[in-house]
Amino acid sequence: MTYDLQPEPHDELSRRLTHALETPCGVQIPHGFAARTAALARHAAPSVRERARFSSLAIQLSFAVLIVAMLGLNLLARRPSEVAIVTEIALALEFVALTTWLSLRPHR
Amino acid sequence: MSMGSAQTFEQIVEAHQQMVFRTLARLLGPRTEQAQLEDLAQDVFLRLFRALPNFRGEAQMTTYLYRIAVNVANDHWKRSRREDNRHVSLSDNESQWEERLAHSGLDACEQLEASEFQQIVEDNLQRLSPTERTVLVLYHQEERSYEQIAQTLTVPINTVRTHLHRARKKLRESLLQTASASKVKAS
Repeated sequence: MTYDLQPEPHDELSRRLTHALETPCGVQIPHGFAARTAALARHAAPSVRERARFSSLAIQLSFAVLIVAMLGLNLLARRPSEVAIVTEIALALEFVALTTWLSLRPHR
Repeated sequence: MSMGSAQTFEQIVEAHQQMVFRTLARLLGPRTEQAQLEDLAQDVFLRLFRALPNFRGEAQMTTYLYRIAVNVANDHWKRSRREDNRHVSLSDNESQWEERLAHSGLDACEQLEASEFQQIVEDNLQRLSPTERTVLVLYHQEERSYEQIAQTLTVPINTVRTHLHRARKKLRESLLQTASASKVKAS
């Protein structure tokens, strides 16, 4: 920013300006505002929660299907090597960890 | 709701409604209708409600509330601006506002009555850019620190300092100009 950052003069105008800015404008809180807003939020909440729960379930289900598919494919493979089995198990564990993390994290 | 066990949402609204109304009223100006202010405040709290599961502390929630209030005010300001293009921003670089400003109005400014002065400040506050106005309101009225304002607006602290300095300077100059104009009109 190229704006001149010279200090502001400390005069009567500065003092009055600061005072005016520090004086909050008078606001009236409508009666029962908090109760009305809370009721509105409660009313709107189920759809948000429902979406979050559905997403979480979908993620868990997808991971479960994936793990079963991986294990099934591994069992079907002819003469699987030790390295392949270890890799497969490592991948399965990774997916379990991811599933747990995704289902336990706070929903946005 | 992670904070819901200790506090119901209604209690949260009650605890922060004054701050939200106060901030919105100042950011939107004295001409905002009460019903409109209530709608906007409700919007702020509904947005907060949706984000509540992610909060772990009061400080974080307050910062977030300020951020939502600022965003809601900015959205409203943009909508109003589209409808009413009468306001000329003092931030408009092409308008060369600095060169037009008179510096001889200091005496006239000092002679203004407190209520009149307050009204002129409110009016001129609305002519600043949204960021400048927000920084002034958060710093002076809400007594937020540079760091807290930086967190609210997600900008570096030095940017907050610059905006604050620039906003005060513009407001000061516009006050001098307004006072000079009133003096000329009166004489």
